[in-house]
Amino acid sequence: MVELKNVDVHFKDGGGVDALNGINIRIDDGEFVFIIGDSGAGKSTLLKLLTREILPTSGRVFVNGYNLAKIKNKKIPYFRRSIGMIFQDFRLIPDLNVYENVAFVLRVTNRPKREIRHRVPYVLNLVKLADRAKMFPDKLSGGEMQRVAIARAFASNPGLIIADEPTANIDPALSYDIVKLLKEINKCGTTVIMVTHEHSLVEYFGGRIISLKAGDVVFDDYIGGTAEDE
Amino acid sequence: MNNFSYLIRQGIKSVWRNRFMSFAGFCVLTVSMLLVGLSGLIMIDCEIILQNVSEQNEISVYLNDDADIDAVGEEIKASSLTASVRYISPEDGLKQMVENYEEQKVLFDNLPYNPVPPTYMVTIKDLDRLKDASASFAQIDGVYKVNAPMDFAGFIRDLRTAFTIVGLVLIIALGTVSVIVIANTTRLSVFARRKEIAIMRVVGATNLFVKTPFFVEGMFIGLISGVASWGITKLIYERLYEMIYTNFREWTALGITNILPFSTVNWYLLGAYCVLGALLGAIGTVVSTGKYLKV
Repeated sequence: MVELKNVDVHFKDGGGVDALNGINIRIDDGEFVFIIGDSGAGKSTLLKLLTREILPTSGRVFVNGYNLAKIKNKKIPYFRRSIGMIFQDFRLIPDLNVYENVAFVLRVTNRPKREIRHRVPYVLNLVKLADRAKMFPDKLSGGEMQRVAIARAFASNPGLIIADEPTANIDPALSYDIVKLLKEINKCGTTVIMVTHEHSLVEYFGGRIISLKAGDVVFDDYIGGTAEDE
Repeated sequence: MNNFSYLIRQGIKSVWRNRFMSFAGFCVLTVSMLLVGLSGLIMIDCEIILQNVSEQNEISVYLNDDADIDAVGEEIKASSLTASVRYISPEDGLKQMVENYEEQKVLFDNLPYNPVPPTYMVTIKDLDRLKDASASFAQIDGVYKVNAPMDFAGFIRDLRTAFTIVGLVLIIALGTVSVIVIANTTRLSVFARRKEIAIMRVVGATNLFVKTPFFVEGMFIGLISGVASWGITKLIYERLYEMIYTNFREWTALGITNILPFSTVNWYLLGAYCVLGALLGAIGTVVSTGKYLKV
């Protein structure tokens, strides 16, 4: 579960900027939520709060049972293991092949070798990249790289996946496949928070939409998607 | 830790990935440790020689052929600096000389006369007053020459002081340089792996997991440098030992050939070099990861 209570974020740099103004958001386990908003709306600040890269100026942030305002520094890595991150620039390690990129997360979290041998082929199969396991990132298309990133985020079976504009750097036609993949993962019970600029995607898939504008939540409700009509 | 071998591999891979900086670190560490190690060995040798000289704090007082041997002996005994006196007649002196130079025995076969003067071997109470004693005995009527090992002792003492100072300066200066170079190597390594580190942070790697490969890298360079320093020290010192042993055999009495053979310190030195190298490597890594790796 993700819960933000009266969260303010104020940056002192640049003469002082109010990035978030007392927002309240609650996302229950198993939900799929789109977060939309223009540049400067506070989306990135929200994501940084959720991954404990920054602290709120005031208010409380709870993610997967952790109170992020009070979490000790040495506990942060363990908290981060409970979430999977997907970035618009994929952030794959260039000198590791697809298999190793996915296995990397499991190695970092000190998972047993046997689990790595079972889990990595499973998630690669899920994102339909089993046949690309030995390829290096520079030989993959944008869509394929993002699927590797999704596999990596899902490899440790986190309770929450946060996708930061995962379709921004790929072919628009493939964007739908990426969201469908995230929806599939969501069906397994994983909460998915996806930040996006692409209104067409949101309109197509529908569901819960949180819209931010100048640091305020201006819309938080469910909409029907056109995909449901198909 | 399941991934310990993975982290070790990553550290060693990093050495190759940053091979130019690693090589620079290796060279600086090797030269530093080599100079420190050689200075240390020479300091130990100086100490051994000094010890030998101290043990032989005897002054040879040579008399004129016509000197009143007993009178001179009484005067030496009466000195407050004297601990004991031993008389060596010219005949016994020659006999001892022949024994000392047995390999050149033939030189003494047909001597027209005995060149060894009547001699008093005087042990003095305080080695630091060697010079005073020597001057005082030289004043005695009938004394032809006084031989004291003070010049040699002074030279060795100065040598030991010089090597102690040089050794300490080297330890501080080159140790600092080594740490800086290793820190830079690690910094480059951190830079080269910044994407990987960022991903590690995001997926929940602990500080230990992120930092261990850098430690391994620093310590690995240090260990290799330690082994190289040991090899070069062995090469240089053994040549030096051989040279001293061959060319200064006649100085046996002063203990110069008692200097440390390399075989007695061989493994200790290898261990010390490896520990020092790994330590310097680790310190360099700590400096760098502390500064540039905010996990």
